[in-house]
Amino acid sequence: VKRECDRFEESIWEHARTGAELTEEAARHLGSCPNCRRALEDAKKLSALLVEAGRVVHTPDCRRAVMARISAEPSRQVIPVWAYGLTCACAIALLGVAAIFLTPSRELHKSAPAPLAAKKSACAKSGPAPMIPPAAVKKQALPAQEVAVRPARTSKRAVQKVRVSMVRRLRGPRRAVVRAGEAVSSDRVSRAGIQPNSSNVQSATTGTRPIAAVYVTWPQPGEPEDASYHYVEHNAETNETTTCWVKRSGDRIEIHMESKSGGSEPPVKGSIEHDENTSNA
Amino acid sequence: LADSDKELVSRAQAGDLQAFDALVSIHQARVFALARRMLSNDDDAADVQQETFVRAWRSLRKFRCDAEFATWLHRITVNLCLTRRRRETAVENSYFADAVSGAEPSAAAMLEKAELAAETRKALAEMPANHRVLIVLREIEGRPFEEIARILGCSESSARTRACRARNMLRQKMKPYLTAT
Repeated sequence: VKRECDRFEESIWEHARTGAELTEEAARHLGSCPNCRRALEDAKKLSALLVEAGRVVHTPDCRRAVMARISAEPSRQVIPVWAYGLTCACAIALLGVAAIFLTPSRELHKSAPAPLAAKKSACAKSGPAPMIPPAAVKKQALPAQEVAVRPARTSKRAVQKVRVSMVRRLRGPRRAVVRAGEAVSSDRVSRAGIQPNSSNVQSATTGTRPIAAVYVTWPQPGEPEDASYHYVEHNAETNETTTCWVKRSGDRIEIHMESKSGGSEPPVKGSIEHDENTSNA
Repeated sequence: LADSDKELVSRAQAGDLQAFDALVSIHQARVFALARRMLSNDDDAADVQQETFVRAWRSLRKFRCDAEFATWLHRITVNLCLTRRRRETAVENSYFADAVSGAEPSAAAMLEKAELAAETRKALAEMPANHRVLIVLREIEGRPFEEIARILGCSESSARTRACRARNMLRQKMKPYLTAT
């Protein structure tokens, strides 16, 4: 009986959710099965409750934040597919060239005793045979040495590339984090496109209690270089509301904060002057 | 919508930020709704909403236009929600407060409805994330199993089986309220 009921479970829920007509077979089964009739009643009630529970009233607009984060990322170069093929071909060609350069040096090492043997036999026959001068041996072995030093040169170039990309990142949107305590999750910080580290995090002391957390990123797209704005952040964990006023002028940023707990405690006030030149140094 | 998505996606893949901005504008509401239904509060849902689009941008080159962009986006959203849900240890009280505060205190029926909705949310929040996602996608958003399977990266029959289990679990949890009403 259970297996029979399972067959109609999906159509019962579909009917409860959308009002779609039951198949003849399902309707016949419902007529004779009190369990499935109860399941249909429950499904109808649950569907209505789920619609209510799943209602989303307010949708935040994340466009600005997303575009700011994307713009802050290092620029991506779109590499066409043919470029991958070309790179592979070049790599294979390089390997081929390397193999060509390596092969004679091996032969050279293997055949090095040969002139001596030739010399001995030649001496026995008709006096001293012409020897290969050491300078000539070195000259022939040179390509192999060049191949050997190549990785070192490549790694130097790689280091230079890293440095260049770091410089480029520093030239991107300037940002600063001011944080105290551990109230804000790392996710929230990354949402603002900030990786906290010793150079961009400054501790805030505000008297008796730590301020929840404040992060600032600027300039936002379309925002003037010298901007003043404020925002309010509510910390659900501590039930603390922090209002933050940010005034930016050139390389200098002033942050004034007022933090108020959910209870009857008086607000805690604090202010920080953040100098970008010193923090990014 | 799908055609305009395709055009915008191909432009965004070529590095056009305005096209991607338009895609964010089109899809952000549905992404947030899905995240909000999966997670316990607005803040987390907003985090996931934003992270979804940033990740989509980063891996946009890997996206092939043979699938729907919305489905791909919702797959990223669901994966982010599942990762976040694993980290959540308890149901947050603010969640219920949110649900009840939306009701008119004078209207008893409205309040009861809001309370029942809050209980439903609580039951959903207590369910394992892999069951909850099925309830959200199938019973709340009414998506076909074919799409659910693509979002979850499983077979259609597996999605059906999991949905059946999830519904039974929800029914058991809500039993006291179902018999009372």
